[in-house]
Amino acid sequence: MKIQPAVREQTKAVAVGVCILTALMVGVFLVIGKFDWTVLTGAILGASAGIANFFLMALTVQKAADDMKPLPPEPEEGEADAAQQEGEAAAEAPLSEGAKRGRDRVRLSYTFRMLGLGLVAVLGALLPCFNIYAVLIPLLFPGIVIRFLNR
Amino acid sequence: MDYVSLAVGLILMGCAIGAGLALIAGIGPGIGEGNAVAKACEAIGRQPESKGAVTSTMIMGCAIAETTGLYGLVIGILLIFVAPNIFVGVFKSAMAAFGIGGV
Repeated sequence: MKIQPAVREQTKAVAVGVCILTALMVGVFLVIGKFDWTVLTGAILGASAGIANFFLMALTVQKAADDMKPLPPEPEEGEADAAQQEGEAAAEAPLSEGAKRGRDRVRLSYTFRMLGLGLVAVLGALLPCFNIYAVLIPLLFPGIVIRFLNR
Repeated sequence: MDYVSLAVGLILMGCAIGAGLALIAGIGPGIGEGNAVAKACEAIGRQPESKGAVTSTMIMGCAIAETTGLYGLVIGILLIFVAPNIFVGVFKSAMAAFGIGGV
């Protein structure tokens, strides 16, 4: 599967942002005097898990969009108005097969990605070579970076 | 009756229930993300020329929607692995400070 330029660019932007925020987080650990090598390993694990999660999500969305076959155009305005008058249920057309497939694919991907992140978090909590806070905090960084990018 | 053990057990139970409740937050984003992608796929199906723009917006929307689930996951993991030690430690030091026996 060919990765779309949009996916590549967004993943790159998110990766850069996550790296910057992770470096800031490690700096904060240094300032408060809690820094040791477990913070560094934990930060690397958490940041890579966060970036991988975003990339896999983007790939799933791209695949769902790629697999969508063209549909017939939407009804004309007059027809749509007539359908709306029949009630909301009538106006709400059922999803096409491609859209249903995309929806199910994204939901399945979300489940597996959350399981993976849960596994990473549990590893970070149980293994003594990782600082649990340094593992968990970078998992939230992609969301922060995206909000910042969309300002 | 050993009230200290009972209190520690209650603390652990509270943490476990809290973690379970926090992880419920993971259900909503999955459903919402799926619905958003389904509608976006339909939009792409009807207007294939807008595929690039719709995909970019969809990725951003999905990532933001997912943050809620991640917050729940992080809180749940903290409640399971970190909070019990903190709460039990606070409880035991409070017991020791008040001179209540058994700790």
